[in-house]
Amino acid sequence: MQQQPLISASGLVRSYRASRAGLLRRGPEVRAVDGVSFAIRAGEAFGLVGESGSGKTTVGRMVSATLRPDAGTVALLGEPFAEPMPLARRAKVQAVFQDSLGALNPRLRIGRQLEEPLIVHGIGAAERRVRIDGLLADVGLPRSLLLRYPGEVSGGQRQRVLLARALALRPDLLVCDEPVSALDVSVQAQVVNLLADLKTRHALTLLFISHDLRVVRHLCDRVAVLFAGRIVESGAVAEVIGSPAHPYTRALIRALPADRPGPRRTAARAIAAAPDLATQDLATQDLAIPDRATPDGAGCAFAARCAAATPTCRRSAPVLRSLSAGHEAACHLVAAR
Amino acid sequence: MLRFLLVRLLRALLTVLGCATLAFFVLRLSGDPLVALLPTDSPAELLERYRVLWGLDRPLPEQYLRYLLALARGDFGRSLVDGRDALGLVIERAGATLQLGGTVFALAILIGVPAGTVAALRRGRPSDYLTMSAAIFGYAMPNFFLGLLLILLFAMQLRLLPSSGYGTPAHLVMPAITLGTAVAAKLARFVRTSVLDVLGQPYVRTAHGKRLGSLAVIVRHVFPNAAIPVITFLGFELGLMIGGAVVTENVFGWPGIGQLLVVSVARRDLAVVQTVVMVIAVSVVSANLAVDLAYGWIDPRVRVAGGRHAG
Amino acid sequence: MPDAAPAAFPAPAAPAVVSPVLAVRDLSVAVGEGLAVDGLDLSLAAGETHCLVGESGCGKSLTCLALMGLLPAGARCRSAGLTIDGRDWAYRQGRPPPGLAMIYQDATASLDPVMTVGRQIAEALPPDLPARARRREAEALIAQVGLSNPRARFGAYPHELSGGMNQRIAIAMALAGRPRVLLADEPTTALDVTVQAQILDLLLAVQNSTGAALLFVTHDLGVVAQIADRVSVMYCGSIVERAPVATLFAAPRHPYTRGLIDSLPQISRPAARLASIPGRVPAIGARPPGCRFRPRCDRALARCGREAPVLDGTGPRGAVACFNPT
Repeated sequence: MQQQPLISASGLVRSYRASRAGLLRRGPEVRAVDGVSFAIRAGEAFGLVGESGSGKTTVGRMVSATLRPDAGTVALLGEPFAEPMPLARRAKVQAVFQDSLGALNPRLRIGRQLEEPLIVHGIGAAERRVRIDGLLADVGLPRSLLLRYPGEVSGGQRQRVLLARALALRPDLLVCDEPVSALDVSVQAQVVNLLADLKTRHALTLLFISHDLRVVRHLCDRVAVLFAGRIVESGAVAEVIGSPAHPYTRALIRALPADRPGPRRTAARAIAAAPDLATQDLATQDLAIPDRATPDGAGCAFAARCAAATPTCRRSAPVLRSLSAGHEAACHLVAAR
Repeated sequence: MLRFLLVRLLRALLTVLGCATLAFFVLRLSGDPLVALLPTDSPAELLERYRVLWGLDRPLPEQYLRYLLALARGDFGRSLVDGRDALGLVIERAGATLQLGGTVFALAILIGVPAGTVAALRRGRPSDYLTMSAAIFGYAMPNFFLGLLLILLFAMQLRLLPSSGYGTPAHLVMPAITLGTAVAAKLARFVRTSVLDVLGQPYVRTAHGKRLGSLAVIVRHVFPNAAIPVITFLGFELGLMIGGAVVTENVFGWPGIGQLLVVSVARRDLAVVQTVVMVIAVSVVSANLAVDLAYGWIDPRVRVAGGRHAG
Repeated sequence: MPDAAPAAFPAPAAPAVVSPVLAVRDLSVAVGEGLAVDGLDLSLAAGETHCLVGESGCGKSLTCLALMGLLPAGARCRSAGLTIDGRDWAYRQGRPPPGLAMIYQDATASLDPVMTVGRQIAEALPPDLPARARRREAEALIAQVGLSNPRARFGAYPHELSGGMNQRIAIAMALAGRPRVLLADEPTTALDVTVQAQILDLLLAVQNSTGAALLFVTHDLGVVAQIADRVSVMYCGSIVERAPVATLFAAPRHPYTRGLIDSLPQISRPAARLASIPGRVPAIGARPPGCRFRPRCDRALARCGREAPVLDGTGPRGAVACFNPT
């Protein structure tokens, strides 16, 4: 059972300086990611869930080696990422992002863009042709698409092109940042199914970043919930969604739209029961950018909106604690229960 | 806000200082003022006497330092030609330039803003093409050429307006039209682009959805948003216009600082040239400062520098 | 502004059942060479939440904009009649009908960045109100949409508020005109789920207190399941099925509706595979003859390629435009 994880992140920290600032004074530093650790086993689909500003995209960029962490390391098969990263190792981790139009050069034919990574990695022309045919079959795209430009094909097809390009170098880990959020439901289902197929067919490991718990529920084996740059809960998908421990996870699940029509629920009321909190939006910049409970960053980031928060919550930040095998949550109140 | 102002003022001061320095050295390098001022057959001791009198015998760094110290005291020196206070001389002429400049600006805004707005609102219709063709014509026509044409027509042929001079409103008409149409043409094109851009914004659609009436939508929502780039443009234009004034004032014999500058340069009247340059520098810098402040006034997103911001 | 296109036909007789607060007949919107909205009929009862659901490009947003008279330049629209609160409205583009107010997808972009949100709300109030009353009314509306400290919020600018708060402001602005019908075009799509939940609750609450009808445009069937009374499913510019929400989810009749429902991932019942609809929505100029869904349909008959089905049937099971419904 115990095996070395394919990829492990430990203590990742990344700060941004707020862009708007005085002319002489620099803007306040914002910790987008504040000590995030997780490990993904080979062949696993790991979901990273959070709302806007939670830091999930920043984590994805650090794991895909497109952004260097301020502190902490990412290790591939136990070996930390180094600078500069050797080409062969870089190929092992590939990423697909939400904005499929922005990720493709509008003036290059799709075929050329699929070929590019293969050329960079020194693969011969004959081999390239074989590989591209295989990739097209993998993602379910017709050959005729190779001669088109990105702007001429649909969003779903572009997302498949990006997947094909990411798979071209036969990576071990595929980082997907909101790959289906911009797609229509019917097409979204196609792409989610495709990801599931690719995962089994190529023994692919997935880091699937999304705001949509419903999609994560379908695709992922394990999930981590990110809030204000920290993981507040993680575990097997069925367990985290079936019996969420952290108040934020519970709020997130309760806020999901209904699967089927039923008696009308008031979802929001459950989230913010504390007085006047009903008037604040959850995960707006007021709170998601670590406007921490106390200025020095101590205290639970969620305390300000947690109906059950105690003085302890405002004083000290909870750490992830194991609840059952593989299920962890960072909440003082959960530990007490 | 205070910090913002202080930094801007400091920068403005540096700019003015730079201009003063540049004017000082360029003038000193461009030839001996005494040769230009005194009769060519003046005896050597007379030249020497004036040289000492005006401090031109000292080393250049010392002259520069003295000049700066005098500036700090508000002493701009005296004209080498008639010994009058240079600042007084320039201020005397500045009135004329301001009169012309103010008229030109008013004219430009009165023509440019409505023309640009109408063109944008009637995009793709005959009134748009007509306005924009006129604007391109006004933009392409050189100032001095239009000025000369106007003189030929109204002063020489029709004898309706004086060809040059200053004093009555009639004197103002031709130079104001010459300068004003060019600025108006550029402004109209700029306003059109700006307004078109704003008209496509979702919040304009929202405003229409409130059944406000087209005029209210334009005045309350389109103009304030479209004004932001237009004000930047006007700030730049002010600087360019002063350059334009040098030409126009000479064409129409308008006794403003543009004319004074040309005459004084020809005479190597050091103190006067330096003062004109300084006055121009200060006014351009103040215009830019005013633009910055206007931003803050119109656009709340600029106002809150360092404060809360959307994530 | 958009072209004026007066109604070309005499006003329709009011539908039999309850007098609808909004009824539109045979609404079409032409964009370029094709019809983005093609002969749509819609009626809303007071207090009803009607969801217009469909994928991008199906014409659902254009339907809203056409009703509001706010179509973008280049889109032309035609209708056989629009009745609001029992009165015919000879409407034309550029002139939003009274009694209608709209909430847009991107709240922050739909608010003027250089005007305080309070003034933007006050502006939408009935024009005969005196100045002092306007301010009081606007503050009351800000409180009504659940924002704290309305006096201070009145003077805030959109960039100082979050997306969710701006959507609340937009709702207040829509309410200011005392609408009989609220049109909401994907008002929660750009928001986080927790904020979305709050905004949905708020919309239903204000609908309850004002008795307005709500036409809610969305692509998310989960949201539909949560808030709708009735649902119209749109595909390629036409409504293909219309039914009460429970009926629609329990027994969808049109193959497209069934496909949409099955492809929605469910949190409570994860399946190994999501069902999906093969192919994709055809571009407006490349729509097939006959039934527009036929190329993606697994129940297509020979007839479907020749004739276009029309929305047919009233009564409890709703209406469907299909020759071979389930």
